[in-house]
Amino acid sequence: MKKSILVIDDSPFAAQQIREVVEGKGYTIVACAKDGEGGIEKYRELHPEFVILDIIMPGIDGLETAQILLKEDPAAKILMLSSLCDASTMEEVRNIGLKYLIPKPLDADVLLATLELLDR
Amino acid sequence: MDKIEINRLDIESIVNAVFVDITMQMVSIKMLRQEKFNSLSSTDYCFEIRTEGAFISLILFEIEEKVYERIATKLDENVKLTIQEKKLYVIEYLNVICGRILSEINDRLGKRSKLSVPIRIEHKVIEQFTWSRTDMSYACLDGGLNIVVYFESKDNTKEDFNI
Repeated sequence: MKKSILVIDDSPFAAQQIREVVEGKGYTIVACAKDGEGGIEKYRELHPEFVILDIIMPGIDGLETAQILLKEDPAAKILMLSSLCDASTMEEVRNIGLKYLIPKPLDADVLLATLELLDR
Repeated sequence: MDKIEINRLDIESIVNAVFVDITMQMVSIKMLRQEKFNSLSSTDYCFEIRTEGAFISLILFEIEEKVYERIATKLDENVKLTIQEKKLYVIEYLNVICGRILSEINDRLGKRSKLSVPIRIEHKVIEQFTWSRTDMSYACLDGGLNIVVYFESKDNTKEDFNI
C-alpha cells in the first residue's frame, strides 16, 4: 500500500517535482496546499503519513505551520524543504522538534532517502 | 547597535556563484557575467525580493522576454505552460536562487535573515537610495538578465521580519 504525502508549497513547480520523484516509489501525493493555513486544513482532513513543507510561503511560513501541526499531532512526520538551508535555519527547524531540512533545488535521491529515515 | 559591515565584493561574489550554479542546475542555461553593467533594451519582466533580519536588502531581477521564456520552458519541458504557470515557475526559480544566496550570507554572518516571496513588479528605477548597491549583468544565448542588490546590514538581535 502506498504511503500518503501532503505537500505544502506555494510553488506548483516544486509540487510537480516532488510528485515526479515520489510517485512510483511507494508514495502517493494525496493533496497539495499552497499555503500554511490550507495545509493545516488538509492535514486535519486527510491525516497523511508524511508532510513535505516549504518554509518560504505567503501568509504563515513553514516553520509556524510545522509548529501548529506538531501541536495538534506530535507524531506528525514532517520534512522541511527549502532553498533557505543555512545553519541558523536548520537550528530553527530543530528547535521546533523536527529533524530534517532538505535544500532546494530538489535532489530526488536526497528526498527519497530522507523520507525513509523519517519513516523509521 | 553596531553594524556588521558586509563587503560589497563579498555580496557580488556570493550572488554570482550561486546564480550561475543554480541556473545551470535548474535550467541548464549557461549565464555569462558581463564586464560592465548593461541596461537592458527591454525589461519586460522585473521581480523584487526583500530580505530582513541580519542582512537587509532589496534584490531586483530584470529579465529580457526571451530569457524569461527560456527559463520557464526549461523548468518543465514536458508541458506547455500557461502564462500564469510560467510566472509561478520563474518565481520559484528566483526563490531558490535568492534562498541559496541568503543561506550563504547567513552562514557567513552567523546570523539569520529571511526573505520574501518574489513578486513581479513594474520596472523600478531607484534613485537617491542610501544603501549600498551592487549590480551584475549576464548574457546567455537568448538574451540578457540583470541582478541589482541594494543592501545594508545591522546586528539585530531582535527579530523584525516585517516583510
